Amino acid sequence: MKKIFFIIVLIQFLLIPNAYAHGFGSKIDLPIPGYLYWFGGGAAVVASFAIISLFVRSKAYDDSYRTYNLRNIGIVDALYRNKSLLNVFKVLSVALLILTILTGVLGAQFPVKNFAPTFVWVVWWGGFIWLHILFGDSWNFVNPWKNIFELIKFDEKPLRQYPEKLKSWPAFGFFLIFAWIELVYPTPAHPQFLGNIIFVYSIIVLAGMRIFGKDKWLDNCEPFTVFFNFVSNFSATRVTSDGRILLRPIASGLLDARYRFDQLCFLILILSVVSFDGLISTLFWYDVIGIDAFGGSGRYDVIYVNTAGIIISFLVFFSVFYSFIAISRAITNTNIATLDLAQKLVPALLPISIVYHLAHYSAYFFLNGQLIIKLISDPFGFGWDIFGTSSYEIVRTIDFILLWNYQVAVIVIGHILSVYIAHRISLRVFKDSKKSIISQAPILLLMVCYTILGLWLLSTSSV
Amino acid sequence: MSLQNNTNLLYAIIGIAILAIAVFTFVGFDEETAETPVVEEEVEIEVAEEPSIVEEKIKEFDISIVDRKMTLDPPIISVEVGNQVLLNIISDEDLMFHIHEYDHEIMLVADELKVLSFPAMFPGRFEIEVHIGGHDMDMGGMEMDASNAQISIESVMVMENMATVSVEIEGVEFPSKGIHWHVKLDEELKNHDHSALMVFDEKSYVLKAIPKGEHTVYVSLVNAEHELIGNQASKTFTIETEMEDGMNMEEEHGEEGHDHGGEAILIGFLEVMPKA
Repeated sequence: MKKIFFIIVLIQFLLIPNAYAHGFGSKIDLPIPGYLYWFGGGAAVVASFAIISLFVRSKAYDDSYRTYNLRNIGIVDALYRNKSLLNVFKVLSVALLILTILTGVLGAQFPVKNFAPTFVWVVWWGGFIWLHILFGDSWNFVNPWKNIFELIKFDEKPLRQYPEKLKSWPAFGFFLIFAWIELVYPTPAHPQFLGNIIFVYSIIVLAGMRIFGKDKWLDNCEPFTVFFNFVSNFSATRVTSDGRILLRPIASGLLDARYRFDQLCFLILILSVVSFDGLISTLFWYDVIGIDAFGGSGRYDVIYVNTAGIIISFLVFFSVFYSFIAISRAITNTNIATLDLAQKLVPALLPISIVYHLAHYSAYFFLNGQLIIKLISDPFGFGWDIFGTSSYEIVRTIDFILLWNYQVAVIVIGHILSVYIAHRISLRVFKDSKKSIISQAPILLLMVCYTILGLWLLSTSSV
Repeated sequence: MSLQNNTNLLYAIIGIAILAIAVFTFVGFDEETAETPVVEEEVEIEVAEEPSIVEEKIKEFDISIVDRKMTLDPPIISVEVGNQVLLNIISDEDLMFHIHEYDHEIMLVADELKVLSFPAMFPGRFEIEVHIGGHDMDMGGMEMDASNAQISIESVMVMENMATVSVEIEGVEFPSKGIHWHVKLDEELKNHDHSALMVFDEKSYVLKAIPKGEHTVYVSLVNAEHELIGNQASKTFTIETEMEDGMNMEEEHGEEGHDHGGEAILIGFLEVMPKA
């Protein structure tokens, strides 16, 4: 059995053709204009002070937030009780995974003519996060590997004990590889490459779930489960273990989150990867690394620099966060260990990461995302027209002014949420409003820096 | 202050922030509409020459391409939607100059001034590339008289799922500057047909991965601007082999990469800002 797997994997790799130098369609994004950058930055600073002044007078700490059980609404309750809708999504998720692998490997080898690249990079990675913000942990239901595992009815009894001391570091490693493919690998949108890599990864996940147990593997080694799990803490809804569907203020779930050190690192990795993604295409970055952004062979020229860059950017974000926490600890004179304090406060970084992800992918999602309308009719690029949409023309006359405002608005809102969450957490930690206010000064400064960085990345000239 | 009030105030702040952004946008609009009279002044100058673009504003750029780099710093041509872009391009070597999405192309000949003009219709940031090689550019000289140009299909040789189309070209020097031929399967050719395959130096082209069945291949000569010259020839042939799985649709290469057989180098961007 093992041999057959290896042969399949080998054949898959042999199918990888020469690297494809063309990017993924062409970029039609526009940097936000300078006045919006200054405005956004200013708004973030003003909002921060406003929140602080609100908290100056608050005395007691209260961990609660308002919730509303959506199952009180008849239709939601009916949908929840009727599992068939959920099953449709589960089957659909598996079908989409298989379609992605097949189109990638067998379809036309042009990123824009093939279903796989647009579906994976634009729709799933760039847009799926929205479902999490609105509907909670959707990935948990549509994770195709989990669903395949359940559909095939693999034996749930693990063959081996998961080495607990690894915690969720394998997921961290896989996410780093995923980020490397997205940001550094020269042709991440090459259909065959994508089909192959997803096929290989599917085997790894299925084998991992079989060997170490489904939930152990998913919670510790499956980077997307871990990633979307974080995001769902930000979500406006939450399904509780007793079956209630709670509607809650956005990001308030972060107040319930308690993270270990490995999870802290994963969260910082999310933030550093998405920021680094913005940075590497700026002309500023090319100046820094001393490579000419124009006239070269694109991503091939920067493989080594950017590989090192991903790691360094994680270390930089980690040390900056850690030092600001250390300053915060020093000025409050608390006896809580710095690392402990960092673990407690790190959930506050999540809103900033998520909104930057949304802003960063927005043009990509709204423009390149339209391709999916065309591609569902002709997923292999063979000239089919299943749903009659294969001649869909991308609407390029998008309202950039609206898009810019959306980008700045989500960033500023994310900043406000981060500052707000940081503040409520610090009230819990210090149990003393005066101390918590003092502790907030460095954290607030850090948040303002991150927000300005995010806005700057959106506004600066890029390649 | 109770927590509830804090939450309410938080929402108020978010609301104000959104409102402020909206207001700011409209203020931005007003500022820029104030500039309109200037636009009209400029237009008047142009009326005499180009009556058809009364409403538009001409944005002229002098571009030199030296050592495959655009001599603008940063190399970004920035215009507004509705502008008529006028590029005076001079290059130190023979290159094909290509703007993505807008899909405007022009053949550049060393040290010769070329003009590319088009209206900026939709906003965004578009890659500008030069393509090197793939053309036999040493044939140089003045624009060719191509009025007697004729193309005919000499043969179509079928091998499994491939077909080699050989053409005969008369009445025009070939290969020569800019003049090339387009080939397309099962569909007639049009002017500026970007979905066609472009062949520059050869008199034959291999179409690959053709599905089983009867097909017609169309060929036509075109100039550097991809406008059809002379006649369009066609020939019908039959493929009898069933296509194997995993075969690449290589005959579509022209549609995606504007494959001129050479290397494409990003030299800058065309930035079309939205109209205020």
